[in-house]
Amino acid sequence: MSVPLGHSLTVGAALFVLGAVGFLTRRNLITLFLCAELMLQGVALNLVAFASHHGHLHGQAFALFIVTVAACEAGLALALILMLYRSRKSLDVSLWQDLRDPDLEPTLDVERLPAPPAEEAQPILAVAGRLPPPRIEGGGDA
Amino acid sequence: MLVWLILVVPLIGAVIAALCGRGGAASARWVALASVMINLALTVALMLPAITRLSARTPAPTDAEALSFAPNDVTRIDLLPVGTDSRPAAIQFYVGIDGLNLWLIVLTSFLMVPSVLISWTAITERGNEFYAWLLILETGMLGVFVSFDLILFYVFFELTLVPLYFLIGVWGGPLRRDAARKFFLFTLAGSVIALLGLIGIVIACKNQTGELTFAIPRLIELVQQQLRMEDTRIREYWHQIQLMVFLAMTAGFAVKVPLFPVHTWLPLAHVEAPTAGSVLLAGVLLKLGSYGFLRLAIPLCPDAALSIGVPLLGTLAAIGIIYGALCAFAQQDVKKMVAYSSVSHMGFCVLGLFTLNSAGINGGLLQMINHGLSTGGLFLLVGMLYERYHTRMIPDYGGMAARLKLLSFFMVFICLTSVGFPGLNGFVGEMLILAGTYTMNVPGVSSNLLVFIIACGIFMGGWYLFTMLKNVFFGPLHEPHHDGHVVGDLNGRELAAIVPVAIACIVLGLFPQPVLDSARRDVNTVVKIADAARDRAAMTKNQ
Amino acid sequence: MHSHLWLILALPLGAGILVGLFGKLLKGQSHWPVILGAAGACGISLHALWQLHGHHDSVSLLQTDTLPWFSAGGVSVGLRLAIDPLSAVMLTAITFIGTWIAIYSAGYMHGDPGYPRYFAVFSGFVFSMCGLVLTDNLLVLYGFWEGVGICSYLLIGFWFAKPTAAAAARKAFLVTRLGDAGFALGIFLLWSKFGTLSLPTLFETVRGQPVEPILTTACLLLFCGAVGKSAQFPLHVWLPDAMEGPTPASALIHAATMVTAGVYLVARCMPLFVLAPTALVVVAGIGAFTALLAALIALTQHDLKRVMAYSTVSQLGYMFAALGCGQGKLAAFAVTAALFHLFTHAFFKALLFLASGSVMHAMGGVIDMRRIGGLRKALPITHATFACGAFALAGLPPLSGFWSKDEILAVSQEATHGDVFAAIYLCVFAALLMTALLTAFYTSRAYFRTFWGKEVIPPEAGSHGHDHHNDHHVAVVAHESPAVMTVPLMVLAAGAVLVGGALAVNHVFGHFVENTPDFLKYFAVHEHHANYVLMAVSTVLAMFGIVSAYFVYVVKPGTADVIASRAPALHRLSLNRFYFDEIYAVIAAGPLAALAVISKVFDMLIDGIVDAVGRLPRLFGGLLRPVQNGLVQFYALAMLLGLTVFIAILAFAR
Repeated sequence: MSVPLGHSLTVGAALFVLGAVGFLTRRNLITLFLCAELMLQGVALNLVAFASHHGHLHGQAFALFIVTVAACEAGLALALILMLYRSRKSLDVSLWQDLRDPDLEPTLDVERLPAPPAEEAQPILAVAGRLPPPRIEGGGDA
Repeated sequence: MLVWLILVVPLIGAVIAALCGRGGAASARWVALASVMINLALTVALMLPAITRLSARTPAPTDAEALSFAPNDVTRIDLLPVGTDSRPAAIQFYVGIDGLNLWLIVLTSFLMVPSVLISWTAITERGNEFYAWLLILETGMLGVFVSFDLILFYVFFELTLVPLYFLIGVWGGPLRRDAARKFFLFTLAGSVIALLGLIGIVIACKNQTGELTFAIPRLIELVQQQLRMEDTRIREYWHQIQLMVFLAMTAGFAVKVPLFPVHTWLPLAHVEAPTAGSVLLAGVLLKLGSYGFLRLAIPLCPDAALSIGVPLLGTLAAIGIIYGALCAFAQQDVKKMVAYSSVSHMGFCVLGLFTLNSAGINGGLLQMINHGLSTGGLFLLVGMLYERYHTRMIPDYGGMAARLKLLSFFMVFICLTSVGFPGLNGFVGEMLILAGTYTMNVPGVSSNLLVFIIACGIFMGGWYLFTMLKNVFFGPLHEPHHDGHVVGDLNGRELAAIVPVAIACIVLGLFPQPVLDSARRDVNTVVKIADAARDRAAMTKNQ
Repeated sequence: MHSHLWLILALPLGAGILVGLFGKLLKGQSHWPVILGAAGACGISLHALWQLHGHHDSVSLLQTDTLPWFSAGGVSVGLRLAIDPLSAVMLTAITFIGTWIAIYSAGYMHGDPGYPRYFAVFSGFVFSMCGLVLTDNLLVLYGFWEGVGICSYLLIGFWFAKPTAAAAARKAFLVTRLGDAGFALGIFLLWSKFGTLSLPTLFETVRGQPVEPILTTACLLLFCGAVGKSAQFPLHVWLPDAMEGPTPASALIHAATMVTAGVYLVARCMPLFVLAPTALVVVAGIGAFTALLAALIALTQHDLKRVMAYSTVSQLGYMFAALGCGQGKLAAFAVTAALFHLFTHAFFKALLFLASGSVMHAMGGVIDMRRIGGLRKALPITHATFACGAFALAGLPPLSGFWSKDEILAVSQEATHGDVFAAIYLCVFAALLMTALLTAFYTSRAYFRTFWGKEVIPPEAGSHGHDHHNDHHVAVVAHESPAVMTVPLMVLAAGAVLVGGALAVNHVFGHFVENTPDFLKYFAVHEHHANYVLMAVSTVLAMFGIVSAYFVYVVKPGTADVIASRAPALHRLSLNRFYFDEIYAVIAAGPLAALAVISKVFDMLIDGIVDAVGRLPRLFGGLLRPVQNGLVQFYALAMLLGLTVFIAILAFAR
């Protein structure tokens, strides 16, 4: 039994478009990275689909390469993202515009983003046998 | 063998000088001096037998011989094969000597020595690199003159830009970066268009004759064969091709000469360049343009040279003669004045070449060498003055003859050569150009007007130079502000730089005949090519 | 072949180079090589003169081999020395007077820091001047012509620290060069038409082919050079300023020899000029006009040397007027008359300058006639010699000026009877007569004001006032010059008195010059006959001029002011030299400088255009620059859109 080519291509295209739209609209670096991976896999699916349609293994070989490269990429990209986060304390991609033309003003949001929702402070567990320290109200340090 | 040796020696010198390191500027300049001296010796060894050999040729090619150049001392090595097996062709390392380039080679080797000497103390930073670039520049300049392969010619033509770009941009005056960039882009823009023309003529020859060649003598021969054909279609084809090729080459060479109105890179580059750069720029590099006209533009496109070259370039040269002199008079900066005087003098040169007759071309050729010596000398002296007072503004000076006797003497002397004083080098060239212009015989061109302009130019040359002499060197002593110490006259090193130039001016002024003799056959070749074009033009008119 | 003729050039040249190179060693002895060189050249010249005189009837020419200079494209030039009677006369004047002036200079320039430089240039001048008259090739002649020009430049600017000297030197160089440019054009116009630069060949070629209007143009262009060099209207303005140079240099260059080069040129080319009557009448007109104009200016000048300078201009005009009268059969007469006047003038004008120099030397550099006077007792030798020169110039018989001036008047009078331009020649004749009167008057004025009347000696005399001159006499009273200066004065005075009369007897001079081969060949034979009426008229004019000057300046001093106040406009014009300098400043120098500034501004405009072209890419780049905004997602969007367009093209374009 074989999946018809059109079905596989539709799924691949859907994956690619989801990834592309996500890449263009989201601003979190990790999300962007994931979207890129999504596009990559959409393409890989295409390759596999065409390969099985033509009855040889070229596409699968390519897909394997893509998966391997994606894995390496993930390692590098996440490490890079971590470094970026450390220097700016944020994952917003629009903070990184340093490669623009030197005379241009940076592009800023017309409306500022809403402040990130205050996170629930995590419970601090006391050492066994002691009373937990008193909670300070509103002192949610992220 | 000597011909390629004079290209290699400076390169080796450049490498050694560069290897001396930042701290080794002192040894680098000795290396530079040694290599330019060796090169001068080699050039003289090349020149002496060449004079006799070149002078002994028959005065003009006979009708049986090919109407083209025939270089001596040839080295031909295939560099880049581009043909097919059945029809081999290659871009070649094709160098040689003939009457047109011999004296320009001598001039180049000769002017290198004062250029190194004048930089001796003036260059304080990164001396090793400076001398390395200077020596590479020498290779480039000599390469242009000795090349008989079109592509090789172009490569050397462009190669001269790089060292000079760095010489101006690194060791120049306050505006050096602007000057270097402008010089580079302006001349590059011109010569890229010229490259189009050069390739165009190669392809045209291939299309018409099936022979692909880059050798200049062969190309000229092929063009002449084609032009002799009676077929109207072929004639029409070559008419079109010549027009375009000539205009393209003119774009490149006119910028280099420089002719009015594409001269504006020159004053800036001269003012900002270090003295050695100015000397070589005025003394040799400007001649690449006029040499290009003589070697390529006229022989390869004689009909176009006659029909549009003479009216167009003659007019521009004539305007340049007057305009350059006027601008020179109005300058406050001595170096700028000399730069504009180059525009005026090179106008004489180009006008001489485009008279397309023997007297004029001989005069133009001689004037190239003369201008190299006299303007080179002027820049040397201005550089020496600048080194003492760190200003080049005419109003800052006055009566310097009282303080700097020798410098003033040489300044007056070089000014005299520059205005064409009889017995010094400028005179013979100027007079031959005047004679050539009188007899130029090109329909539609008024030689009376042109000779009148030459006469005005002769007068105005004296006008701005002697006004400068009066203001700077004569009158009551008025030294520019300087740091207290007594300024000394020329020292031994400076004398060693300027005295040979002065002697060469006298020698060339009194004995110009070897130059004229050795160039006679080649000049007559060009004249014959031009005369054939005249006949064709007359025939077309009659039909 | 007469290779010893090369010595005429080699001796002064060698002396000049010797002094120029080793001036530091020679110092105060620098004059020796120069004097010996000039004297040697003089000896050879006199010998040549004697040889030529011996061969009275045959075609006489001493010549050397040709030394080739260059030849290319049909222009072939070589140096060949040829002495014919014309050049022999010039050569003798140059070297003889040159030798004595060199001796005088040894005294006059004594102690000057530029002593060797002075003599080196002096010798260079003698060399160039000899070369000029010896060559028979137009271009070589032009070469030496420029050579004397540059020596003149260097000597006028000898005291270069003086602003006036520096300015005068430049002015002299440029004004003469203006004429020279025309000269060069003329040379090559002749070459382009007749194909030769050698004068004898040229004269030969010109005959036997249609020459007009080329020849008239060419002759006028040659005359341009003469006008510049010989300070004729309208290029006469440089000569009076040239008096900034050392006085002996003025005597040699700007009175006796170099300025006569123009006369020599026209005389030498007379075989061409006779074929161009229009050119000749222009020569005559300009000569006569200049003679009158300069004489009028000389009337009111206060500077003794300037009076002499204008007198030189005037006398040169006289010579040109004579040459211009050489229409047709008069050619030989005209040339001999002009040359005769040139020869005698060289003696008495050099003498007058040297005597003025002697006055200047004694007066501590003061030469303004308002500040000196009555010097005949203080400077007896100077006075006597000056008187000889002045009366020779005034044309008092039997001094030499009388004879030569009379010849010129005679030729111009004969020209009025000619077939062509009779009316113009009548004006020329009248102007020359008028000039003769004025000459006698202003010369005597200078003489009487300087040497007669109450003794006035300026305080500079005897002190170190002479700015260039390290005077070692400390006496407060004015003193006569040393023997080294007075002996040349006496020799030249003897010449000024005797030369004219001696050579006028039986027309010795005229016959000698007529024997010049070119003249014999192309000119009709001229019968010399004395015109006694004209002689009488000119004597009366000279006497009248002298006597009236005596009356105005000695008998009744102050009359001059009265006359001046009667015609204030004329007086002002004359005093201000007819405002030529001012007019030229307005019509030539000013516009040229303005044009230069305009060109400079225009050049900035061109440069601006070039820069604007250079800025175009940046301008277009500016439109696209916002695209480079650094936003990753914007780039991604652009990629996506680009890809879409690309795919769309691939999909639909087939």
